[in-house]
Amino acid sequence: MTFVQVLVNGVVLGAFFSLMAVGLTLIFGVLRVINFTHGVMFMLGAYGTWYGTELGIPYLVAVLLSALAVAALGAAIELLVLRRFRGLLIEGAVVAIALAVLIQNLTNEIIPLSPKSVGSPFPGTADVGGVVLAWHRVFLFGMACVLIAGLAIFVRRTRTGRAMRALQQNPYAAELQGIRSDVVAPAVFAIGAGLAALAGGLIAPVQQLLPGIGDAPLLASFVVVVLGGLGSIGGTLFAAMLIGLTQSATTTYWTGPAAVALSFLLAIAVLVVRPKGLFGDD
Amino acid sequence: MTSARTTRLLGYAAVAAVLVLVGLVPSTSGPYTNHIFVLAFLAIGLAASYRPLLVAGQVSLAHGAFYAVGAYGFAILAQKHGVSFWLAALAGGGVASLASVLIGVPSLRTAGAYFFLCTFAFSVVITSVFQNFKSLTGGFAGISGIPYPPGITTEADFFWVAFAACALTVAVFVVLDRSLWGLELHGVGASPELAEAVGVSRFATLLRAFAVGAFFAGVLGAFYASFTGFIAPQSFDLWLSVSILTAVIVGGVRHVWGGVLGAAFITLVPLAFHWKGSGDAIFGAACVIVVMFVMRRGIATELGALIARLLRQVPAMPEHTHLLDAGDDAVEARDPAAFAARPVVLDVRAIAKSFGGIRAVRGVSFDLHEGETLGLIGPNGSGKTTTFNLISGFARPDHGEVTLRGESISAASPHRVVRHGLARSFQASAVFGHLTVFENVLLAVRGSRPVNPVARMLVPVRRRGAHTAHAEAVLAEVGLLEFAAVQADALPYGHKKVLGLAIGLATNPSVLCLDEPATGMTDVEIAHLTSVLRRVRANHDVALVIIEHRLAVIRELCDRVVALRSGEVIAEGTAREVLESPEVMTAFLGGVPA
Repeated sequence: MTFVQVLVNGVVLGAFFSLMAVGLTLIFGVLRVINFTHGVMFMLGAYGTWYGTELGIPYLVAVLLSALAVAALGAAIELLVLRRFRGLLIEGAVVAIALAVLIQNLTNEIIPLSPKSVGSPFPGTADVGGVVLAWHRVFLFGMACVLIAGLAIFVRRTRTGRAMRALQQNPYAAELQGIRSDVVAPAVFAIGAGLAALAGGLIAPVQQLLPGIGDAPLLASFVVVVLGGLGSIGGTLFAAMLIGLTQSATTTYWTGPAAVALSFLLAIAVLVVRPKGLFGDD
Repeated sequence: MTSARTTRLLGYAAVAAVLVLVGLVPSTSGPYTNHIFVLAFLAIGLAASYRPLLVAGQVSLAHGAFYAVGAYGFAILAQKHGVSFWLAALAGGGVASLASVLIGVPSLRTAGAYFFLCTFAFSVVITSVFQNFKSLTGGFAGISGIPYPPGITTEADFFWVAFAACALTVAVFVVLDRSLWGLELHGVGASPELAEAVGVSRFATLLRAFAVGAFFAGVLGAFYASFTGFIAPQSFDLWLSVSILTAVIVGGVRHVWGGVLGAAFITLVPLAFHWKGSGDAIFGAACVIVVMFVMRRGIATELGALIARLLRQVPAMPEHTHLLDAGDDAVEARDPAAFAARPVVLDVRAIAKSFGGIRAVRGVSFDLHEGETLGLIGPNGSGKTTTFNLISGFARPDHGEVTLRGESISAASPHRVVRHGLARSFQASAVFGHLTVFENVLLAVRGSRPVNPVARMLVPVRRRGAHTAHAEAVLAEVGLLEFAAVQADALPYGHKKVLGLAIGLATNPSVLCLDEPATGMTDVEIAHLTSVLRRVRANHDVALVIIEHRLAVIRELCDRVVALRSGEVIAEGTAREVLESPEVMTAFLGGVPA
């Protein structure tokens, strides 16, 4: 496989990791919650898309609908459960873990465990000068770019986005300015969960759906978030690309199973030099 | 009967009841229950050995990995190389402990999420090693035919082996929790900076908790391998570490029985229902959420508090909320000029420190003689606290040197500086919040003198007569003895500041640096503070350096005053000379009165 092919695969993988990890870093940055439910949100997004297409809904509509449903679930989780654990980092993480286990197993009860697959609206592969890529992955990459750019604009330009950044920097001062954290918090959670579900729905056509499908992306996005610097969106994007390229190169030049372990080792090596992450400052 | 005895008897009764119940299990139930109980015993041991690190405020996701490393180490030695069971089990623990040191040494030095990620990464990497290092681990096929302990032939017998391993592990960690080292763990968890400031090395304390915990996890892993007779990479996944964490949090980190109760709860609840499929997991997860809702601090902590309330054992805040009068306040015969003849104890030479482009301290020099009280004044931002940080090891000077009794301490870490005899307090009322007032001071007492490390981990802190007596004496001296049993967080503001002073004093310093000891205090509290400080310096040969904005305090206590402005010394002399010098007036008031 050519070097360019490895590069392209890595960048597409990195874009996928970015889509997962920005939600995680947003939730951590603004709400100080280590959101262990991020993996099951991804899983629900993928399964929701599958269920939608089974019902005959067009793929893109199914992706959108399942993401909206998962976003609503995310908001509900914040409102009903995680709100009670604001400021208790470890306790909140443990409750999130329990929620993830609960959602995962309830899903297993409802949906048969056999592997599922979803058809893509963009079948076939693109071949540009020997570099081969499934059209769906091109689409996935484009969507990831659009969604992340949209998030960045939202966070920078809108009133709600500014409120989120204010809460991230100083919750106390933000509340004194009249920012209602009780309203912003479920919104942040909904956005994070929705992005994870979109990632799940978008990857569904190129991956077999199994119940534990959310575990690997959850682990990878944790590493990306810490490597990029907790709460930093720019750092997250950079780290996601780094991890994506490392995994792509390891898979091609060495062996698939070592890819995850090696990218984690890389993250550790970087953190020896920069313990707060590449772009972390707090 | 005193309520303390009631609690103790209740405790014995509970332990006896549990033993009887456990004793009934093998004879009255089938192999399924037996199996679940063996796994529950191992889980309880894992939770007990994991708790110390959480107490010290660090979250690790590698405990399950150490369990796996121990299991593999044991299996390779016992099954492939015929090493005797017990030796191989201990070696399994040793290998796990070694692995913990390898990841702990680089990652525990820095605070924050780095350690967490390293342990997480270790779990992922070690699974990859189990899968791919086929010659040693058998790859995905794993290792089978792992032997039982000698003399054990049935699963029913193994019940008692696992119980003994669990009971021994729990006993060891209960003893550790009650030792000086256990107290240090709580201190590091409550405030790493303050722990350093009283002579506790954050790094050494954490590394020891990590390594000791990993050793026990490894040995328990050996028992697991022996029990199932077969291990493979899929026997251990990351969720194992996560469930150990969950067990301790649900049980309650701060309570000594927290890990035990939490693990017992999580592993034995499914037994009551015996569902098929995902039922156990769903019910278990729902239970965790409900328990955390009802008892946010965990089962053991909340139940303990409830029992204490029922037995009316909660240490009540003394009725009067003002501090005890420190006693008759004989007028000191003090001649400020006499100190100049005594030897210099602290010598600060041209120290400088910049943060980015801001030169916070630019070549500050002063010295301090034995027994002397020096005031350090200056407007906000003049570099007073930075100077303290440079003296006490919390920051390293870019230039210049600090010597304490002739020995350079410029490069020493805070816990070493305090062992040399220089203690400090903090501007914000820094105390170990969830420890009692007595424990706050007791923790500082140990910092000043070396104790044999093994004894430090095994001897209960209450049995250390010299330590407890010293702590009580310090509390009596500052007028806080009546509050000894109160949780430090519950103290009023002024009391907390006095406790901060007591903590510094308990380290038996020859130099005590106080950062704004009177700021925010009422006039009554200030009067108490000054009389305490007078008594302290009359009773001990201690030199004081005081940063303070309340100039009345400076005038009343200080033999000599150094004034700073923009990181430089602008005046030095008696309080009167300095406060009346034109430079100081300009700095403080913006001009000299005409």
